[in-house]
Amino acid sequence: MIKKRVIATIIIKDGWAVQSIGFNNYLPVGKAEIAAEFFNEWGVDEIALIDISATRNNTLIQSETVKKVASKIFTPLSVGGGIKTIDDIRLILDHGADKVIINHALKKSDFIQKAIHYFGKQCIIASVDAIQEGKKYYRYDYLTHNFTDDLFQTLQSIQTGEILLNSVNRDGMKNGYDLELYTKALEVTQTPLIAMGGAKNPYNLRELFDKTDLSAAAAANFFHYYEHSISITKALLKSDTNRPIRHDGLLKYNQFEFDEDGRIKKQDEEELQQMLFEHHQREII
Amino acid sequence: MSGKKIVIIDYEMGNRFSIINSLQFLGYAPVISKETKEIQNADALILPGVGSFNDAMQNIHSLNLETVLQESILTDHKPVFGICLGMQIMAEYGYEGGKSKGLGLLNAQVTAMQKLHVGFNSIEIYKKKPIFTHLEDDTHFYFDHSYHMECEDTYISSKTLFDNQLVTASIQHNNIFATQFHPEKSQRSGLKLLRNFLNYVEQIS
Repeated sequence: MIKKRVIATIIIKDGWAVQSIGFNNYLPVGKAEIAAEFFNEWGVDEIALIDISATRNNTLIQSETVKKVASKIFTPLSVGGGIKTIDDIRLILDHGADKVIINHALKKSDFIQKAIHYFGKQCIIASVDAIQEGKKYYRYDYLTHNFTDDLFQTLQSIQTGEILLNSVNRDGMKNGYDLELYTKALEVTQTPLIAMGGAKNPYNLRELFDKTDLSAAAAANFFHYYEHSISITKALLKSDTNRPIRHDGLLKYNQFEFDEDGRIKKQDEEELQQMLFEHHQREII
Repeated sequence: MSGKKIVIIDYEMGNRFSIINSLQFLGYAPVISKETKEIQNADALILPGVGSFNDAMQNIHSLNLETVLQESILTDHKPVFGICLGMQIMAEYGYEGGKSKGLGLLNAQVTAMQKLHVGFNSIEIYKKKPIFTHLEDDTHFYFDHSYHMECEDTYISSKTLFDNQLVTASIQHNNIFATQFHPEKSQRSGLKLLRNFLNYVEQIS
């Protein structure tokens, strides 16, 4: 059975991994490759690496960064940031990416057609920023801050393998995914959608998977907050009912209870004492 | 570090980086090559690939790789491991980008699926040894494809269920091994599977 995908996004701004709040405030996290190595270790299903300063500075995400991240992980890697030519895509793929994420250059439809022809549909992810104004959703342009195009018409016209649909209103707001947005989006497109924006804790992913038919949820900020965040998220998603989630990493957290933020509750003293003497052999493959 | 010479066939299709990365992690120093001599001298071959069947076969032809691959695999019986499109082009025919001839290593054809199959899926194993040693049914592997291989069940070493259909997940036929999924993208399970293939190469050569 195919599993829902839990995707960790690493946002890069001016060479550093950051947390993004409302598309305009940023907190530094550190080096992208270190975050990626941990996410891989904790059993993430995919990693998305996005340089949000590239298009603005008219550059391409540094291929060295892509290579450093790719060499630390054994999981699919999608990369975005200033990609606008076939050569850009080739360079990024040669440095270890499996898929590319394209936002601004989506408007160049002949480029997108060519990219799909050369690399296959499954290799190209369209990244679309959605903004809600009143009752309507629009496609947001993060460079000009304009929004005039109807979001759902835009989604219908997209031919790529997947769509990463970001909610601008929810970005860094910690109020959960915009369920209405994703429900409506699923009605207008057959293309697999990835939700992003607003996740505060594992309960938000649970809500998204339970209340919509979305097959993939991405989060950035909260996965950086605490140790084993991905393993704990997956353990929580499996704890009350057997959701279709891959949770076969070394870190199980099966018998644990979770608090209202989806973090593990403190074990009682006796158990902690016992854990001190447990011997865990390092797995050799 | 093992002395076995593993050659990754370079026919200019898709991501070779992660397969090199995985083999290095497992203690090998693979060579990427499209040279006849290198392929003939290899202990084992890896046929990677992402993209469309038609483009892949065009590249194989323009790089003159068809004969050397067929001879190495069918006559010299070198162990070969195909991944994703690398598995698909082992077939007689493929229908992606129009009907085109494949390498013809397997009596099989590659046809379109209704939907893109992307993400981790669990498999059912039919032939455990050698590549699924220490791996159980329901192990997850990463799939990303919209065409699949149709062939006789005797070739199939595992299947996966997607969109209410059983899809060929891996192939095992004499010295030919291949997976529709990406072991190099499937974390510990994928590394274990590659280790099993490498152990097999160590034993037979």
